[in-house]
Amino acid sequence: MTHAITIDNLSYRAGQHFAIRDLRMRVPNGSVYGFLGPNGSGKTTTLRLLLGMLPPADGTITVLGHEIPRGAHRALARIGYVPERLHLYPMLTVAETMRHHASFYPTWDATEAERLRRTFDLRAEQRVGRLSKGEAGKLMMLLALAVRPELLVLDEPTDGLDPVVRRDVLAALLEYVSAHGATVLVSSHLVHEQERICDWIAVMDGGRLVAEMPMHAFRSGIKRLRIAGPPPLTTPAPFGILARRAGTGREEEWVVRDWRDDMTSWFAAGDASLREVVDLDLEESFVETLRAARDAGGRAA
Amino acid sequence: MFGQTLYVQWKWNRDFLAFYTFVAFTAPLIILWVALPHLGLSSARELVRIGGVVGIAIAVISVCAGMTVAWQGYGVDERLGHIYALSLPVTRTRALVMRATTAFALLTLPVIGVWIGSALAAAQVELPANLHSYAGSLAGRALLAAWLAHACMFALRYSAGRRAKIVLFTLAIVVGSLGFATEAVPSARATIVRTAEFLISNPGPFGVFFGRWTLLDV
Repeated sequence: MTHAITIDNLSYRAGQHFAIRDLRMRVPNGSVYGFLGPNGSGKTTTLRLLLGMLPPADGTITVLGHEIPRGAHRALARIGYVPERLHLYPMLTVAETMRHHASFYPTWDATEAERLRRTFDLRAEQRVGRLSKGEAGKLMMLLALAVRPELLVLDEPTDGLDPVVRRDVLAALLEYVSAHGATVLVSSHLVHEQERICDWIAVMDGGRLVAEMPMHAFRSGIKRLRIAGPPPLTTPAPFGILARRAGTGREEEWVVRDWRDDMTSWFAAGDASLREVVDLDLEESFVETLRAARDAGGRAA
Repeated sequence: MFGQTLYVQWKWNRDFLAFYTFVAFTAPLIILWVALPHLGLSSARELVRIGGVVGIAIAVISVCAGMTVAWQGYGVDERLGHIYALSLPVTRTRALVMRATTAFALLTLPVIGVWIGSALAAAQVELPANLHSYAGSLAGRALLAAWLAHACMFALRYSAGRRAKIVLFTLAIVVGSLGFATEAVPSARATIVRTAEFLISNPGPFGVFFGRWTLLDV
């Protein structure tokens, strides 16, 4: 498998309290890679690091074959970027912004840009500073898509947008991705939205990547088990235990990952009995993954 | 790319540029119109003095225009967290060169105002035989001063806030130390004065600010 983005041992520090530590990340070519994490977990900083906007303290970043930050300008020519907040010059009109943006990208598709402008119902003479939040979101997505990027880096692209605008923006994104096979790295804390569009998922917390796996593994591999007479774990379990909580009586509730149905026999080998296997939705899986990572971090500290 | 950068810079700065162009155009005319009725036309010495006042006004306008354009251009990006500028596919060096050159191009507007205003003002005056007007060279000096002022402010602003503070602090320390040294160490005085003279007189780097600014001269 080739990767559009490769990050190894990335470290970055901002102030006394925030740091990204030893980050390793692989974004497969052609994937829609969801980047989940609570606010302040380091998602935006990681995106800015991989776009060459911030200098890493240590580690290596390669984006579309270009080493970052040295080759950032070459990589950026092949990337469509939507930041979390409006970043465009407020005194320019929509049409002027499109012309200005186009002048930097040899791959700019003026016909497609105009089509998207009409689809998004953006007035060409409207000043960027007077756009509503929804219109601004649509304009940023327009600019990102019209450069015909091989990689889209989207930082909370639908955060704060109303459902209609969100649907328009996501529809345009998915249409482009299905037509061109572009790679998408989309950061968000909207778990259900990620579930709809992503085929890979990574979870970040406290500047560390706590999980990275294909979406199907994340969705189907994390389960809540209800166990009567739980075993003492003298033999290692064939699955990962994310959480272990006391239930009623002799029962315990385990949250496990990498679960497969044939693993029930592991409990039968001991004195335990597996009472129930509950599927978790993505949001529950996300919360349990975070909780396990924080517990592990707390124990390590 | 350059054309679009120029256009964006023009939209950022056009209000101030219009203001400075207007002031640069009218300042020589107003100074001479106010001064002449009180002077009569025969006093060459007074005319030279008024020409000097025009020159100082133009120097101040040029420096202010250069610094404002640099300050304002940076301010727009600063308010946006520099995200857009940094996300464009150009090297930082190239982006900075484009910003600086477009600003230099735009600073010619107030200088054109200086040139035309000074030429018209000088044309109103019946100069004695030994006096000449220097509208063209005053405009040229104004352009250099505006560019240099812009370059200094641009370098300071774009070198990031913390570094800019360090540069300013270091400059203050250096100037203060030199001032103290000229008093405390008489043997160093001559060297320091010579260095200062080199910096502020032609062809020193800041000579254009401190040279003779005048519209009318012998």
